[in-house]
Parts: sequence; structure tokens; C-alpha cells
Amino acid sequence: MRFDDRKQRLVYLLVGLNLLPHVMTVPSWVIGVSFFFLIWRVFHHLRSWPLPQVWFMRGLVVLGTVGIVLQYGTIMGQEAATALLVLMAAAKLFELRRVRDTIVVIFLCYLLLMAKLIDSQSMEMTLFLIFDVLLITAVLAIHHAPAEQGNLRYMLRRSLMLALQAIPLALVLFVFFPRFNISLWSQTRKNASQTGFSDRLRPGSVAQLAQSDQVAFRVSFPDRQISTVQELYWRGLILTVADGLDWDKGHFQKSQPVLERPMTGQEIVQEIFLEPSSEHYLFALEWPALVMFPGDPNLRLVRTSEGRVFESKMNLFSRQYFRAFSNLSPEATVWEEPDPEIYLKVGGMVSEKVATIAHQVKQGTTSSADVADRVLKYFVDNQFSYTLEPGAMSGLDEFLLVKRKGFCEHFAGAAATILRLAGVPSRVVVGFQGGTPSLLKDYFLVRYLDAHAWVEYWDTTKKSWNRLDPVAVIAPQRLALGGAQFRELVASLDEEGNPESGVIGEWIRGGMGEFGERLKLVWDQTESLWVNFLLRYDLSFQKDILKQFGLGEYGKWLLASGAVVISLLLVVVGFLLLRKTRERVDPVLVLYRKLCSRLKVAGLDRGPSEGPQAFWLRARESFPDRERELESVFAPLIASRYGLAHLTWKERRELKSRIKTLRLSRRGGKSRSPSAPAAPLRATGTN
Amino acid sequence: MKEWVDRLPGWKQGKVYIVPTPNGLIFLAGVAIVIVAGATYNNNLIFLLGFFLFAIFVIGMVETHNNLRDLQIEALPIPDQHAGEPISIPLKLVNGGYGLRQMIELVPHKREFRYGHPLQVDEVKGHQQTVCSLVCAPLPRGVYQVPALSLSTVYPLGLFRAWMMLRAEGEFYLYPSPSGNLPLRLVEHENESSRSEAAVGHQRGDEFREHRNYQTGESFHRVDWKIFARRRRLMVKEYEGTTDRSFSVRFQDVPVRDAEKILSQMSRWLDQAKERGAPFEMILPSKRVSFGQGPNHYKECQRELARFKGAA
Repeated sequence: MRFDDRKQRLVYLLVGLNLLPHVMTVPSWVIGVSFFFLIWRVFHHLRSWPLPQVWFMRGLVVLGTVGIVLQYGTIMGQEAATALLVLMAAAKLFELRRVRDTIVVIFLCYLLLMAKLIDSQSMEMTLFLIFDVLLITAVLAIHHAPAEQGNLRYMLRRSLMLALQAIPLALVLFVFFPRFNISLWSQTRKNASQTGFSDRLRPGSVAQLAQSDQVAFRVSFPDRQISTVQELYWRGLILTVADGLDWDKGHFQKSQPVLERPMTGQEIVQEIFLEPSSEHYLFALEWPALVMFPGDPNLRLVRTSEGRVFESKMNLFSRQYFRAFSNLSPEATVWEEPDPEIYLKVGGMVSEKVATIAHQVKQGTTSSADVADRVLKYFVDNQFSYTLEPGAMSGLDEFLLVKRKGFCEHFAGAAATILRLAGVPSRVVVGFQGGTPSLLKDYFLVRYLDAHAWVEYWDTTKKSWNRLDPVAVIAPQRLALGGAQFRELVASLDEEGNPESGVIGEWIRGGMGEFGERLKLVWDQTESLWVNFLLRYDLSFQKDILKQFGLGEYGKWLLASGAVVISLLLVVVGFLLLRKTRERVDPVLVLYRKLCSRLKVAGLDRGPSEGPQAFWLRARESFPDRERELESVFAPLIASRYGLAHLTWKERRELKSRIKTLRLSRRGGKSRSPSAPAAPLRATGTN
Repeated sequence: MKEWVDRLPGWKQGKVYIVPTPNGLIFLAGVAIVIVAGATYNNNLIFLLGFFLFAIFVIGMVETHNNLRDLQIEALPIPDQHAGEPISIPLKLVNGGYGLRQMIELVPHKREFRYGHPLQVDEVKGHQQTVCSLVCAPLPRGVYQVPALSLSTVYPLGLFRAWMMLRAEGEFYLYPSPSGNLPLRLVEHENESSRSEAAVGHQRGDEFREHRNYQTGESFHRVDWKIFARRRRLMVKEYEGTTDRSFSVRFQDVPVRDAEKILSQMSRWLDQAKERGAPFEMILPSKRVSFGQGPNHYKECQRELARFKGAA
């Protein structure tokens, strides 16, 4: 271990590389200061810039820590701790006095990497993880290697070798180490900046959300095949307070614990892999009966609220996996009679004209279902159209009377308001509609592109809430194709709604779009395989494995002891395997030894320092009648052993058989009896 | 840590011992943090990282241990030296195993032998050997066994230190360090009656042979003062006839109590006698080495001094 210029530079590189992934998540001032430290240190190294005084550095670190505490209100949260780690790793660069300091910086790089994994477990991150771990280990190895072998390529190869040996043990531990759920530090997070729904609907808010092709969740149906996306309505949250086109969640909805209901067996089971989000909504297919996390059989982590939407009690800022059970029709759920105080109320000013529309819609109807039909008919009759870019809209009047053009949320908001004015209890549901089937058709990919809003009204005869989706009549393609494909369709049409004039242009545009979409699907398929595996693998999964072996009852303790025993065994086996010297013996030498042992049996012992040439001469003297045969084995062996000729595999085999069939008369003791060379052995087999 | 190792009772030659280094313990603490974080956030990727790092730790242990396997040391002939200076011991590090051995540190097992930084051997290839030279601390005169060596390594990741003790066959002599400036005693061959060399001067008829450097303790009578005036260097005239004379190095000639000082003076005399190229004898209270000449004779006398035990 010695200080070395080149090795030192690698450490700076390593710190820089491991700071990079944190650039977007850690507060910019922390990142700024950290990179400033790094650059200062590099310039100290290259240009001999003076290093800061110790008291100055300590002051800066204390200030930074105070800043982080002020920003997050705590030092214990994951984000605050990450920010602190970033700062400390960079500050430690000014303290590289002994070799140990450098080693500690390298260890800190492992922790920096770990801190990033909390946020992100994507495929990209996994690839980065593999590369980075190899690199950090290589730099660690370089600091303990002879100076002349300190080149990075050699060390990368060595760390790859180390990794290949480590992987089996790591995998065994991974499989058997019990997944205890512990919470040593709080999981609060303040400034999550993920895409997501908010508790309110403003004109244009869903349209804006639907610009993003970020993945919201992936869903698979373990029990059945779903071929059409038309009926895939993913219920997220319910908005009950109306004010023109603005809808809010309101404070009336009380959260309540989820009670397990008896299942009929007819429910559609969904396995949903939710991407990180800043919200708590657990999306499920309409009409959801139950939502549960696999590690939570007692339903402690979920709650429900009026309208049968589900929320998670814990933060969803990391990927989560849950199961949902849904009924096919709303009648299967027992609904409470809606409170007219809430579901018929329309806030704000309602203009005369809108009230007239509501009145017209209501006229002559007998049931709430009729009113709903009339609302749809109103949209169709007045030639409302669907658009992906609705633009700014001031309110209900502008939409209904002037523009007559909007995104799903405008139609939903307007329809629900008209229904309320017409005396039908209604509400707006926000969620997703549709999805993209994966490449292997084993799951659906639901992206923010598929964000959707629709209406529910109270059907007085059936005593249940019914869905009313104005988009179904305005733009049925949107529902049939799903958000992604519909967007592509729109892109391939010009503004008047006619196909693009140039055929080639269309082909290129459509083809590229399709190709891009396909690429995305390929990537998503691999990512989902990986992510699903990472998410699904938990204590219940481990128990399932054990159950298959009939060991279910012993649970995690069996797992823990199993992990310990197996890893110990692996260590022992590793020791034994590595102890074994894998010496490659020259096959020619093996043949020569065989020949020697044959001669020994015949009574001619090779002296300890006797070379093959001398031994051959002696053998010729002892067995004068076998001169030719001896030459046929000795000559090629000597030639090959001393590099004069190269024996092919076939020649070696031939030689082997010659040695085997070499007939030599046994010499009795020391005395050589000339009469003994036997005549019957005359026929020697040298083929 | 090595100090602690020294006090271990069951020290067996050639057996490899291994413990984590402080760096290794820090690493292990880091691994623990990663695994706890994995459990806290229920994050399998972090678990994977944690288990992988733990596996690296374990494999590092195996590799560090293996890095010392099948190593042997052999001592090469060690030239006799005067005491009082760091001793350089030429060694051969033999790798009897198949694989490469890298970054081996050699240090004498006993602390009183250690001197300066440990000797570091960068690498020994499989079935090969490398020659290196271990420097030991200055020691008093005597006959010594090649010290037992402690071989240690932290290769490849510095997470563990493996070490073992090896002993090489061989001994070396440390002559007394030469000191004192009493004149060397001259002996006439014919009658063996001795005179002080100073009184002899050079006799008529002796052929002048050469000038040589003056040595401390020699009589000033033989200094060529002309040369001193010319070159400011003390040179001594050497005559043909002088070589016929011989010297006697005698224990009882040194009027000091301290046996070590006597031996040091005798050692110097031996050096001087060797320099003159004349035959000399050496008389110790218990032992007499009769007249002789040449490097082997010199060696024999000096070794007697090194071996000398207790004044009469």
C-alpha cells in the first residue's frame, strides 16, 4: 500500500462518477458544493492548488450539515441522509492523508451507490450498479496491488474474477436471507417530484399529465386472458365537490379500514406493479372489491374511502406490488344511498344557459339512466369533439357554449355538473383507461398517456353507481385503442382529420412511430421481468418456496439458519476448490512416466538423475532384441518433450498404445539370464 | 496487530493465520448498513448489493489466505559482518504453488530483529522463486540462526491480513565491531621474541615495495612524512622485508577490563593484520589460533572472537 499518483486520480474519478446519479435528487446546493470540493481537490493534485485549512473545512461541513437539517427538518430521513452522505464523501477528499483515508473514500462510494438504489431500481440502474460495483472493487484492488500492475484494465479483469466467484454466494444469500420488514429510520420524504394525480381536477390538468409516456403501473391477470383494452377502467380517486369544470376531492370522504369480504370467485384478479409516485392511490380495475399487499394479509397497509377507491397507508415512493380483486359489474357491490347534500351540490355560479341545458336534458325522462343517455346525446347532437390539446378554458360556459372541444376531463366535469343540475347524483372518477399489451402479451403497460376521467351517476332503480363515459360517444377510438395508440393515430392525421397526403410520408411517420413504440415495448418487457422479480421476491415468496418443499411452518428462522449453513458450506467448498492446484501436466510427460513404469516392471529402474536419452541407451542395452520398438517410443517422446517436434492428439494416442503393447521380458533380479528372452514374445504389436 | 500476534501461544511454522484488518471491519460495517437499508426499504436491489459485497468480503478472505499458500523461504549464504550495522540477509522466496503470489511482506518474527520498513515482495510466479534481501536491526557480536520470519499479506483487497511464520536454515556470524587504537604487536619469526613494532622501523636491505594508507593505531614512525607534506595524506611505507614478519593478536595485550572492548580491539588488530597481508596468530584465554594467512584464516580468527564466551 503506497501513495501513487495514478491510483489517486482513479479515486477522484470514482467519487465523481458516484456523485453523478444524485445530481437530480439531492438539493442543488449540496451537489454544487460537493463538485466544488472535488474540482478543488483535483486542481490541488494537478496544479498544486493549496488545500483549505482544517478549521475552514470543518466549518464548511458543519454549515452544510446545518443546511441539510434546515432543508429537511431532520437528519434521519432517507433524503437528508443521502444529502449528508454526498457532502461527506466530497469533503473527505480534503482529508486524504493516509492510505486508510483513501480506502474509506472508496467504501463511501459503495454507500453512495446504495443510496441511489433506494430511489431507483430500474434496468438502467441495475446495469449501472453492475458496472459501478466492478469499478469500485477494481479501484480498491488497485490500492493493494504491486505498482507496476496498477493499470485499470488488469484490475477490472481481476475484480471481474472476484465477482464471478462471489456471485454464487451472493445469490444463495439473496434467495435464503429472510426479508424481515424493519424500519430503523423514518421513511419521510418531502420533495418528491414524481408525476402523479392531485386531489383536484382543473381543466387541462389530466391533459397535461397525459403528455408524459412515463409508466404508471404494469398489470398482469394471472387468471384470465384479456384481449381488449376497451373495458379496462383503472379507478384511482373520486372527486365529489363541483365548481363548474373544477372538481375537488373534498373533505367528506372519510377513510376507513378495509374489511375483507367474502369473495365470490368471479372476481378478476390483477397483479399490479406500481411505479414510484408521490401519491397514495392504488389503482384497480372497476369495480374493485379488495386491494392488498402480499406481505400484509391483515390489510393494515391499505384503506378505502367512499366510492370504493383504495389508498396505501405507506408512501409509494418506491416500487410496490399489490393484488387487486375486482367485480365485473357495479351491482356486486353494496352501495350506500348517496347523500344529496354532497352529490347534488354544484358550487359557484351557474349561468342561465347551462341551467337551461340541464333542464332540457331532464325533460321527459323517467329514470336516471335516461338522463345519462340524454347527456351523451346532447354532446353528440351539438357536435362536440375530442382533442388532445384543449388549450386554456375559463369555465363551463366556454366549454359548453363556445369551444365544444375538450379532453376527457372537460367532458367528465361538464357531464357530471349537468347531471347534478338535472337532479341525478353524480361524481367524477379519475384514473386510467386502456393500456398497452406487452410484447409477450403477459401484462399491460399503463402509462400516464392513458390517464382518463369519467363520470359516475346514481342509478336509482338498480341502487348502484353506474359509469358514464362521454368519450365513448365523442371519440370511441380513444377507448378502443388506448391512450398510446390513439395518440399515434392522431399524430398521423392532420388537423382537419384527413390522412396525411403523402403516402410515403405517412409510412415513414407511422413506421418510425411503430418502430419506436416496439423498441419501447422490448425494453419494457425486459425491465418488467427484472422489476417484477425484484418486487415479488419477499418473505411470502420465500415461504411459498419453502412450502413447496413442505417446510412452510418453520418460516423465516429456517431461512435464516439455512442461509448461514449454506454460506458456510459454500465457503468451505470454495476453500477446498481453490486449494486444489490446477496444475497442467504435459501429456507427453505422462506418457514418459508410463513408459518408465513399464520398464520398471520389466526390471529396469530409471535413476533419479537419469535423463531420457541415457535411460534409452541403458534400455537398449538391457533389451537388445527390442531396439526398434524402444526407438519407436523413446524417439518421439524425447523429440516432443524437448520441443523438437509437436505431437498431435492422434500421434499421442498411437504412442500410448505402443507403450501399452511394448513387450519386455522380465529380468530376474539383478542377474541377466540370456536364455530368458522368450521366443513366444517375438510377435510384438507395433501397429 | 503484529505485536498481538507475537504473543499468540500456538505459533506453528508454516500455518496460515488470518484476521480482518481495520479496513476490513469498516467494510463489514458498510455491508451491514447496506443490508439493513435493504431491509428497511424492502429493496431487493440493495439486498443484492449487500450480499454481493458480503460475498466479496468472504472471497477476499479466501484469496488472501491462498496468497500465502505453498510459500517457502530459503536462506542464501550470509557473509560474515561486523556487529553494529544493520544486517542484510539474502533470502530466496520460493512459491511451491501453482498460482501467482503477490504483495508479500516479510518481517523478522521477533521484534528485536526488525529494522525499518517491512520487506515487500511484489510478486512470485507459480513454481518460481525470487531473491530478496531482508534488513535486520544491528545486533551484538555472536553466532545467529537466521531469524524466523513472519510473512504477511493483505492482497487482493486489503480486507484481511493473513500471516504465517517460516524459518529458514542457516546461520551467520557477527564479528565484534572494530575499535580501539592500541598498536598491533609484531613478532619475529626466528626467535619468536616479540618487540614493539614501533621500535623496529625498517631494516637496511629491505626493498621498498609500495605506499599504503595509514590505519588508526599504527606507529607514526612508518609514516612517509614527505608524502604527507605533498598530498596531505598519511601514507605508510611498505617494505619487502616486512612481510616476513608476523603479528600476534593477544587477548592479554589489551589492558582493559571489559571483555567486549578487548574483543573489539582484537577485531581491529585482525583487520589491520589482514590489510598488511602478513601471517598472524591469535591468542584467546581459552583458545589459540596459530599463525596463518589469507581470508580463511582471518575468518577463522574473527569467528572465534564472535563465538567467544566470557573472559578468563
